[in-house]
Amino acid sequence: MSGASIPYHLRANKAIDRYAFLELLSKIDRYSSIQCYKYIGFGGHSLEDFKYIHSRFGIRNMLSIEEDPDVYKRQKFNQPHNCINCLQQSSSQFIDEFQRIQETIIWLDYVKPSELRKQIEEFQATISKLELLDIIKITVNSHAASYVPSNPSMTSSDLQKDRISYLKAVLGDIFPAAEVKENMMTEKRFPEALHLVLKYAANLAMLGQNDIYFQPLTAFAYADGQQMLTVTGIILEQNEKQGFLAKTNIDKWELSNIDWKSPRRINVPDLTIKERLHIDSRLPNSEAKTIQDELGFLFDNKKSVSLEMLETYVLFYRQSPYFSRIVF
Amino acid sequence: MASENDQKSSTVKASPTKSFFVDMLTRDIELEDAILDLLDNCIDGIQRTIKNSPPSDNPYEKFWAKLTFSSESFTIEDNCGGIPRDVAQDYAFRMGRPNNNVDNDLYTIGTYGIGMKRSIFKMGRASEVISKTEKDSFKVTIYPDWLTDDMNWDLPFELIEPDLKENGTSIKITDLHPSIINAFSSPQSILHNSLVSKISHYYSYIIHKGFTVSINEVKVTPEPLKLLWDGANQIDGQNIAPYLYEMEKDGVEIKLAIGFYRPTASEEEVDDEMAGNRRTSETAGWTIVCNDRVVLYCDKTRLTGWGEEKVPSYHPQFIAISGVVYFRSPDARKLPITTTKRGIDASSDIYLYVKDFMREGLKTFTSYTNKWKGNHVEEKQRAEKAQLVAPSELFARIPDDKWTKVKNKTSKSERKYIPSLPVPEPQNGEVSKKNIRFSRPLKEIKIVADYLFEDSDREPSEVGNECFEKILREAMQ
Repeated sequence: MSGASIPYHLRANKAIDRYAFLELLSKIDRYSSIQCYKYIGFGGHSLEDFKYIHSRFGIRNMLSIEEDPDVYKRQKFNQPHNCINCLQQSSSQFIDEFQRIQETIIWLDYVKPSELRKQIEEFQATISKLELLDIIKITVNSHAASYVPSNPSMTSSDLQKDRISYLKAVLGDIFPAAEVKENMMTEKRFPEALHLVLKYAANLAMLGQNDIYFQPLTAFAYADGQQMLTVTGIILEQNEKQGFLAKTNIDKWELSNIDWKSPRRINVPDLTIKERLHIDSRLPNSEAKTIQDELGFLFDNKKSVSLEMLETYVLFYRQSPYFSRIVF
Repeated sequence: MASENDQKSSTVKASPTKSFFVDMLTRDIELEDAILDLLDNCIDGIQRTIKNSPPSDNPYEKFWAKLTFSSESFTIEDNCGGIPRDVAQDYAFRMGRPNNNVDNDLYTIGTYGIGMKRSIFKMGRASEVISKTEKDSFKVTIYPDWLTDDMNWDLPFELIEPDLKENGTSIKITDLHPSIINAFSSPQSILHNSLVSKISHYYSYIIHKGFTVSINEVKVTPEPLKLLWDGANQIDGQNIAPYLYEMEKDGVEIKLAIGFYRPTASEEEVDDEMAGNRRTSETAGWTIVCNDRVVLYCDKTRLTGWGEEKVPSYHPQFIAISGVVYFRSPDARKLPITTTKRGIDASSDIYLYVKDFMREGLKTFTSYTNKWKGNHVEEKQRAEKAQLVAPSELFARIPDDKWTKVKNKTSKSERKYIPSLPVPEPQNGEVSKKNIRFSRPLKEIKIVADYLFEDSDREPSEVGNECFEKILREAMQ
């Protein structure tokens, strides 16, 4: 279902998002034991996230949904632990039939831009079935050009107009007309727009349940190829927020996003081993700016972008994976 | 004896209580509709201001309304002319409107005189209404105590130094009810988005004609309906065009347009829709506009003729059909609207009369969709050539000789335009066609779609058609 194009281990930014997710879960663990949850996800052929979550938290009740029969067979072959139940089903069929019996973590990891409306409706259907302290993560394609590509005859203003009309037409009554603006229809700001769409969708789905609400926790935009947006939240009781934050310290965590601010961009530079060792040796007690000046070269044409990349790396250096070629 | 007489001639209390108005009336209305009621008053203010101006395409230009809300208060401010002093003193604040109405010859939509008060009571317990007209400025204040005092029905009225920059009204509501504070300020509230979206649909025609509405500083953009048209140069042959109808009767001007706003749905799309994977059916159906204000939006029920007489009920197959009826009259009481101003009075004579033409228009397009069922690829290619045009423009651009007079004694101006829509070829009797139907595993369709179009998401009907075309080209060589 996901990651059909780029192998998982080469997606450095996605890997950081996954580490951030694990860190988030370990914070929630202080409030509600993650070990007692059931984990549901779209494991893909390698069931990578299942491995991490099982080894970190010891969750034993895991379920992977996979539509494609071939990927499903491969998944069965790769099954790393026998506590992972693999189900060959489409996500929509799964959500239609889903009955929540215990605390649940569910990751809806979508890829296809053409099915945005369906994905958001599945997200809504899922959260309205979830209960107190259940955790939901959703990933959607936020690469603006995959929705409406640019073409040479268009001015940038035409392009933005076309994109916003497309979103309005596709999303209909779940389009947040007050918050999503035409100037967000650029590659850089598109994740911001979809983040607001998810906010509105979540709030619409929770209408009528006045005692509980969807509390956002993190929101990241990252690109290893196509830009993706991923948002994680938890179902809380209305008066529980302060207690939850006090115990988990999520509000003090630099990666959290508890009030639907713009998603944080994960775009770490592609470092050589030498660069990485150099930068790591200056951390955690140096600013990104100092390190950039010291290095004397940029990771992007634009100084500001290069600095932003380095700042992101500084934030994530502990979570950033180490990929290296092994010669046998 | 005396006391018996007293009893015979005594009275019972039948005077209204404030709580009747404050609690009962507000139950009938949703918060969003209460806000729209206030916006309707702005529009009525514009009608009063421009009543002597020459007709124009943008009559509402230069007029604006600004709405702001927070956990503390709700404010609506406009430059739509203000409330005349006598109107304010005589009835604007009364519960209901007396018969001698100053707006008798205006294109207003407010007729029952409960809107403003009901909206205020819906939101809070205190308010201040300030108004400035050419002549004077005044302030009316409602205090929380007044709401519980059944004896005192008067409100303090003060003439003040001009407080507003332009002629207009400012209504500020405070001491908000807890549920309203929640709707105005909770991070989980959907009000702002949903209000902007509602106003962009319901005030589309007014905004399109120049009116500016902003909500918490977000300007609302109109979403007017446009319909597919092949253009004036295609009009002599079969062409894609809307069905149009217009007439004037008893001081009510009526214009009706119905057609396609997008290519018709493919079988796959209909199946998806039936399975609950909805796409974009919100825009299908009938929209009714009274004095530029939308009172019914994209209705797909019997109320607008679906499933009546020979018209089929709404079905996703008709997803591309959309229509609009405009009613316009200086006398709001002649318009087919309900007291809430947000619904159609389906039993009114004028509406029942027009409904015949609504059904005729609907039938034209549902039949077209049925005829082309099974030829979707061809129909889509055909429809893609047409342009989206605003209905108001079509009334002007369709040549007079293409219209048909409707036989009716009441109105000379009654006429309709029935498009001659394209018909699939077999029915022309020249080439006979057959459908080819077969099913293949989805995975294989995707492989072929990716091979042919480099897009594995193409609809199966398109993939099938392209396969046939490809082989046909080879075979013909």
